[in-house]
Amino acid sequence: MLLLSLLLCLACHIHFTNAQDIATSLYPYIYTDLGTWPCVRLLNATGSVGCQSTSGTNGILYQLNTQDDIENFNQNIPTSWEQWVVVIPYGLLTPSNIQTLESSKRLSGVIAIINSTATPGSPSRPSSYSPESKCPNCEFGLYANDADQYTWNPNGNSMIYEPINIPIFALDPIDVLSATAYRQIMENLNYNIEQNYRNYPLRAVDFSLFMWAAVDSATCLRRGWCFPVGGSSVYSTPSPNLTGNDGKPIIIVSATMDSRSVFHDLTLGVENDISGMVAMFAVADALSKSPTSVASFPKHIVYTLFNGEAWGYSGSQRFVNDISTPFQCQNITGTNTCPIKGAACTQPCVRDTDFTNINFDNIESVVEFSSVAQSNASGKGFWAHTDDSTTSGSLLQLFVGQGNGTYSIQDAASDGVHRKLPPSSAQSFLKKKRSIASIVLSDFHTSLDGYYHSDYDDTLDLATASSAICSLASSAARSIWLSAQGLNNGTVPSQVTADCNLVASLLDCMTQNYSCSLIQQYYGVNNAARISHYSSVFSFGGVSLLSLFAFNFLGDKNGVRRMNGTSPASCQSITECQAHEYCIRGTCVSTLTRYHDAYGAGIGYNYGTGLFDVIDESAPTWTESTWNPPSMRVYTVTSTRHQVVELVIGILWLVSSIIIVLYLKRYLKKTLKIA
Amino acid sequence: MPSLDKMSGTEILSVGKKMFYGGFAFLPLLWLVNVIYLWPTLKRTDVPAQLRRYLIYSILGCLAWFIITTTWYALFVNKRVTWGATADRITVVIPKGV
Repeated sequence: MLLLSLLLCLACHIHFTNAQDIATSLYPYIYTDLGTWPCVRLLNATGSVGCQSTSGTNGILYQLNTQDDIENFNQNIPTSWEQWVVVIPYGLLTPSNIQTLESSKRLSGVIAIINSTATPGSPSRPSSYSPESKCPNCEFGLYANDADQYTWNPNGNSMIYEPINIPIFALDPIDVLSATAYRQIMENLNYNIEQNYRNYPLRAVDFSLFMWAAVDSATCLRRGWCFPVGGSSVYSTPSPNLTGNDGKPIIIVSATMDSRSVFHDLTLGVENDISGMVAMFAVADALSKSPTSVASFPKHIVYTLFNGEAWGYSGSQRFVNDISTPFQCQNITGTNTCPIKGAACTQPCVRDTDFTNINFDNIESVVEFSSVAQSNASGKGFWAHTDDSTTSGSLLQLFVGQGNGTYSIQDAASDGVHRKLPPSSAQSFLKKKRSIASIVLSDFHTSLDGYYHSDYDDTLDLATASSAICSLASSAARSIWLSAQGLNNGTVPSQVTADCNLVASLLDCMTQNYSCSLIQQYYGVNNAARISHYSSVFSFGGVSLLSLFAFNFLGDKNGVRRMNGTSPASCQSITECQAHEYCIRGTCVSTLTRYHDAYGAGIGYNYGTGLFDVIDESAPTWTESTWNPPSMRVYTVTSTRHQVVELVIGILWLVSSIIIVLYLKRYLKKTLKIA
Repeated sequence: MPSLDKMSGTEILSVGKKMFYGGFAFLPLLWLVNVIYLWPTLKRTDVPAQLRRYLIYSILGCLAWFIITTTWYALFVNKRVTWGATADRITVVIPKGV
């Protein structure tokens, strides 16, 4: 008996290890793992938005192509007990459609197709699709308390503010990996269509999208399961000696660095943010070519590129707050929770204190570039939006006067309707001080770009966009050149003109090819093609690829090269340069170009615990959840009847084996007489 | 301990009493054991009638504990999220995603 049980135990041990091996070796025959771009969970002071799935979900692939398909989903599905994963065009991803599909109780996940080929634009798209709200970020803007706020985004469906408890993944074949995922899903979907969704086996998809954070930002920050949405803004000035009390007025030339969409990995934002950012770069380049250095002008020019703007003006509000409140460093000895190495001050934890040189009261005007790519504007002109025609009137006239032929600049209020400022960083400055002259330049007049904060904002007509942006940048550079000298008109030297080739390269680098030759001039990059323009999460001292380029480009244009005799002092890295110098494009450059923290103004760092807290619920408090690695895999399912037969056979097999063993045991006991 | 059959009635009463008082040291399961273990001896004629009282008190105590702990459990499970930071502080392993 002892021998027998020993043998049995050994057998079960072998069996156990074998089961493990079989599981791992069988896995590739059962599942095909695919690269994923999920919609994820984000939180703010009052709740959460975005997608999550607390348990793994799976369903059979099912195609829905039109609005009618979605409305008839419940009637059309062939079986009433199976769960389905629907494959829909991205343009149909609206809160009401998701609700319709979910109400069938047969939906387990959604796969949204943004593009079917590497060249964006196919399948055909609706003329407008914006997952933003009708008035984006208005609750955090200048007009938050106004009774009748203008609706800048009338087509917005607020998809990005929807809390969704099913997984939603995107398909967009922009690189090799994503093209494989796209091909796999489409092949399996077409197989199901051929089988009419009835002839089993069918192809199914299994998702996992487990988000750790829950409830709201305060809760997940306390638990350490989310991080503030944000990054690094960049500001730069050609005035090396800018100080708070030099009495010179400041002109802010601004643009937004980040964009937003349903699927953060795919966030590009050609119109909204890239075009404005490129225009600002072109202006900085044009003004750097001025025969008389702009640093000698009676007014300072400060370029600001804000990050996290899509998330309640995180970058601009924090910048304005930081430069408008007196800075007091409480350098504490002992426990130090400031994660920045070599911080200029550990509480508040900052890289440098140079921002204190920008005196908020000296800011005279703000010039901002909104979306300016002219990708689907009806006219060819640009529009200048102002908050108030009296404070900004002369600035507006200056810009209108410098407008150029085909790409004229018109007063947005010229039709008699004063819509005030569209969503823009300028609102953050005016919120603090309404008397600052401000002008927001855009290619839209009465409503935002049709693909505002959408994954569809990915198409670029390089020729049109670069000539439009180049023209605007030249007009703006001339206006700023005059304005910085307090002039209303006059002849601007021909050198102050935007470089259209530079604009085209910048557009290409920012949208499709981050490893382009222009960026290679500044630093080496490998294999970075299309990069995400989502700001990502904030970390002290962290710098994204976009911020890095902005810093180097602006530092290069606004900095002063140290001369070693007649040639500039060359360098390979910053260590070869003197203190306070940077190594940009192989030369030592001294420049007042700095990074500035950008995360929701409602979030503060707790120096005691080393964690972020929600300190003001009325200000932006966006955070992004931590998650288990999301997955999407394809496998084959058999029909329910097949599965039942399998189960019954299994049970019968088990019962008969038990009976056989029992009989055998009794028989052996009798005949062998062991134990 | 000798088996119950070999113990006298007074000895059984003393065991029942000790277990009853012992249960006050936050040991409701001891009360339960007391009842299950000694209840059959109530049929015996030599066991003092007081034992029944101790056993009934033990049942009641055990029930009271059951009600209190299940109510707390139900409250905690359902209200944990609304209690916020306080609940997180008394939770050993905070569940993710909820």
